[in-house]
Formats: sequence, C-alpha cells, structure tokens
Amino acid sequence: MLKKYQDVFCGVFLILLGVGLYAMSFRIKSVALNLIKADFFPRLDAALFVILGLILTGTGLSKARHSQAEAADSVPFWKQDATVSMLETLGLIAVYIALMKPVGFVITTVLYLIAQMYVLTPREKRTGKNAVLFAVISLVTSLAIYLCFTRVFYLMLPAGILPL
Amino acid sequence: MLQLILTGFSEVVSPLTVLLIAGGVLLGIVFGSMPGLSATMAIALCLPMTYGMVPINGMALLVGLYIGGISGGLVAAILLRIPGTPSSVATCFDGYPLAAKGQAGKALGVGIFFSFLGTIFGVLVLMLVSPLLARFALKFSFYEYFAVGVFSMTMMAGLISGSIVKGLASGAIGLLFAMIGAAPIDGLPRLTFGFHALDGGFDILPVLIGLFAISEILKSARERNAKKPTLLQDFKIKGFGFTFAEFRSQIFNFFRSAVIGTGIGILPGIGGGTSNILAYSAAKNGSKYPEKFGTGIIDGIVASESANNATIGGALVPLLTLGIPGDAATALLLGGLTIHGLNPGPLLFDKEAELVYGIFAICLIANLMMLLFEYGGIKVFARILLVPKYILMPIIMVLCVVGAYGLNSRLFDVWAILLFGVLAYVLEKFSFPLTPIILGFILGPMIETNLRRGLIASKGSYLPFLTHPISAVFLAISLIVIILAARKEIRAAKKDGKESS
Repeated sequence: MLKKYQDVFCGVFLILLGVGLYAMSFRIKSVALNLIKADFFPRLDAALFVILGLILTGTGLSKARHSQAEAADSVPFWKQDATVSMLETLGLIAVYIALMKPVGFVITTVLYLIAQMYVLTPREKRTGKNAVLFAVISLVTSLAIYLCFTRVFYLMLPAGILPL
Repeated sequence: MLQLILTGFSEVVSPLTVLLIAGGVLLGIVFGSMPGLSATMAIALCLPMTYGMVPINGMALLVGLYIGGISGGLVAAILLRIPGTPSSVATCFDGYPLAAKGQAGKALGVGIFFSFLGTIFGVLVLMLVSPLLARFALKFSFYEYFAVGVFSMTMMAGLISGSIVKGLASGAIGLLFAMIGAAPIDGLPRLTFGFHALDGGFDILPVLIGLFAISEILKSARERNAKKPTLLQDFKIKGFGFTFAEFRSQIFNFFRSAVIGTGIGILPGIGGGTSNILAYSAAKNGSKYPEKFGTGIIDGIVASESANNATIGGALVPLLTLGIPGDAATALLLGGLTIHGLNPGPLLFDKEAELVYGIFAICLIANLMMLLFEYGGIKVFARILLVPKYILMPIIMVLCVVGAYGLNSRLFDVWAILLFGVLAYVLEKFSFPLTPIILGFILGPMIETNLRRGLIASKGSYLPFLTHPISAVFLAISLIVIILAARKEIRAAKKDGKESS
C-alpha cells in the first residue's frame, strides 16, 4: 500500500509544503527596492514545490493504476527488526545530544557508545566478552576524542560535571 | 606559470604539511574502503580539525582525504563486491569477477595504478584550465554570476540519474533551507519562526554531516542482522600486477575514461558517483568484445577507476574559479576555505595565488602517496574491512557530533545534523537524490543575491541579464537543457505507460 502509492504521497506532501511556504511568505518583512523583495524567492520555491508535487502525484497515480496489487507484508514495517533498531538508534542520539550539556561530553559519550554498540550488534554476538570490549573501547574513545579536540585542535566541548 | 607551480610546491614542503597530506591520504583510503563510509564523510569529520590550522595545512589534510577516499573505494569493490564509495560502483562489475578467478592482486594493481593516472590527468586539466577560466571569470558581474548559478542548477537537474522531478524537488528543498535566516541585501530574517538560533541560517557543515553521515548511520542500524558478504583475503600482488602489453592495450580506454571523468567533475552537482558508471558503459559500448564485460576483464576496472579519480581535478575547477562545488566533497572543501575567510572565485587566483598553486601541489603529492600507500598497505586495508560496523558506526556518530558542535560551540548545530540526517534518510527511502539538496543550498543564495544586486544596479530592468553576452549564453544553454530534460522525462513516462499496460 505504502509502496504502491509512494509517489502520490510524496507529491501531495510537496504540494502541501509549497502551499505552506506560500502562506508563510506573507509574514516576511522586506524593503521594497524594486520588484524582487525578500519574499520573492520563497514564493518562487513554493510555486516550484506545487508544480513538482502535481507532476509527481499525476505520474504516481498512473503508475499505481498500472502496477499489480502487491501482497501486504506479513509484519507491519514498524514492527520489523530493521525499523526497531533504526528507531532505537534515533532515540539514543536524541538523548545523547539532550544530556551532553548538563552532564558533559565524556560521560554522555561513554554511555552513548556502549548503548549504541549494543543496539547495532547482531543478537548472537551480544556476549559478555563483547560487553567488556564495548566498555573499554567506549571509555578510551571518549577520553581520546575529548583530549585530542580540546588540547590539540582547540575546540570547546562541554566539560559538564567532570573536572577535566 | 612554472614559477607559480614551483611556489606552490615550496608552500607545501614543510614537514607538518607533508605529514598532514600523508595522514589525510591514509585516513581517506580507510574511509573509502569501508562500505558505508565515504570520502565526503571523511572530509566532514576532519573539517573541524582544520579550524585552528593555517589554510594551506587545512587544505593539505582535506585534499589528502578526498584523493585517498575516492581511490580507496576500489578495495571493497574488488574484494567484497560492495563499492566502498558510490564512486567505485562500476569497479565491482569486473573487479570482483577477476578477483574471484584468483587474480585479486591483478585487479587491485590495475585499479590502483589507473586511479593514480586518472588523478594526474584530472589535476593537469585543473592546472591548465582553471587559471584561464579564472581570468575569464574576473569580468563577471552580477548578471553573469546569476546566469552561471541558474545554469548550474539546470545542469544538475538535467543530468541527475533517476527521476528529474525528484531531483528538482531535492534542489527546491535545498533552496528552502538556504532561505532560512537573514535574506540577502536587506538582511531581514525570514522563515525563522521566531527562533533566534535560526537568524544566521543553517551552516553548510551541519547540513552536509546530516545528509551524508547521519543518514548512513541510520541506514546501518537497519542492517543489524543482515548477512555479511565474504571477503577474499588470499591474494598476492607482484609488481603492478599487469604486463606492459596489457597497459598499452588500455591507453585509449584510459584517455576516454579520464576525459569523461574530468568533464563530469567540472559540471556542477554530479561527481565520481556518476562518472565511473558513464565511463564503464562508454568502454563497454566502444569495445570490440562488449560481451566480455562483467566477466572480469581489466578494461572495466580501468574505465571506472580512471574516471572517478579524474573527477577530482575536474570538480576542483568550478570550486576554485567560481566558488561552485563540483560535487558533495568539494562542497565541504568550500566550507574549509570560507571558514578561514577565503572566498573561492577568480580573485583567489590573484590574491592567494600561493594557496591555489599550493592546492595543485598538494593534489600531486597526495596522489603519489596514495599510490605508495595502497600498494604497500593493501593487505592492511583489506583487513580493515573486517572491523565490525557496530563498533565503527557509533564512533563515527560521536565524531559527527564533535564536528557540528565545534563549529560554533552550540548544541543547535548538533540538533541540526540530526534533523538533516532524518530528512536524508526519509528522502532516500522515497528515492529522492541527496546531492541536489547541497546544490540548491549553495546556489540558491548565489542566484538570489546576484539577481537582486543586478536589478538594483540596472534600476529594476531585466534587460542586462539578456544583453550581457556571457549571461545570455548561459541562460540559453539552461533553457535548452530544461527542454531536453523535459522531453526525455515525457518519453520515459510514455514508454513506462506502454510497457505496463
């Protein structure tokens, strides 16, 4: 279903994006030096989105009409293993960024690395030996990156609660 | 000219600079070899390290990464049948079959040597063409820059593989993100939704890290339980792995492929990912024995590897002379130059001639190092392919975060990479290409600024855009490209309809 009407969905989305952008363009203040003001390009882009959206919807509908009805997946895509691990990764990254400032780079990075490696590891490889390996790699990488970037390349990273 | 080239070399002979080139090439080869990591990603991750360096050293590292990264893709293509980077897709076609026949050493030898020759060809074209083009571009005013911007956008849309409509939509999305922040000329904020963090707009680096690195990490998360391909590990490499007669038989193929590669590199928006496949099909179509392609003949490897490396020099031409990147990796080099207040364009050849010729010298030195390292360390690079993704990808993620944060020391840019990563992931799922986003992002402001400046200069008249000859020519070519692309798309749609009904 999703795959069959993929282009139609994209097309409709582009049209909505264009309409939204056009509506937003009225809130742009601009100095009128001549015909082309700060709101001209947003409107041009909005028109482009609508035109491309219409073409995509049209071709998508004709493609869907011609294509054979496909068998539905037995497992809905949000329950598939691949999607789950992708969403877990996304969640981990978000938590990592959110905690970095208050807690500090080194601690959040160690925790993130361990958790992320665990999530990405195939089930049969999640052994005790690997867990120790992940912990060691995480600790070393995190400290090395922090020291390397703050001491050698003079970049500021959030120190947080560790007195480094 | 010769004087300037010598100056260029004298700029880069300091031990630190040479060390940075070597480090860049080595790391580039590693990133290029690992499928899922690319030259673009390597440059994005190392860009923050160059903030504190003098420009020539920064470029030494970044150009080294670029050359090593593009060439490194052949290792996985030949030993795993998975292209290490999009630039070596066509290397798989004949590289892996040859390796599977027990001649992995020969496949690698040919690939590495013609990578080396391809880079030299591209860089020589760069050294000859770009000073001339820069002198020519000195005469450009707002009108010409506007026309060149429009021309680049249409070339990208017309040449992108896959659906032109989706390619254009990606370009429009890039344009949209470029418009967020202060508008050109009057500097008034637009589309910021009242967020002051958005007043300055999005920086190119977070956009690129998000599009090309974070999306790869999300993709690799999907492959947690996927089956691993087998790695061919038993091989010997003697000399270059091929005979002089074999070399002679490939000379014409090499030149054709290198010309294709350099040409594709010069055109904005398409890079090694396109040129290797085009060169491969050109070699196949022009061959006396096309049926042998795909069975493991060196012609295929020569075509792909000469073309993708020749693209490097080509892609640097529009970057240095006009400030228009030839592909995603050069878009990052643009970021690496502007962070030091250097604006690529014709004036760079005047004001910073030492730097420009220094970059040429870096290309040649990096290329030589690439040849030495790949021959000497091929066994090691093959071993690196065995490092599990579940250890590598999280570390890459941390480096992405560091790179984005280091830009302005604010978490806003880190959230931005996540946003662009998710966006790229979703767009790729719906088969939208990613490179046009970057082109839209960079060219949008260039087109808008020059259009508005031009109109102010001409007191509101559009006529100068058409009466300036260079501007008129570029706009005319753009129109032709659009018409041809539209015709191609309509034909394809009609054919599609006929076939399925």
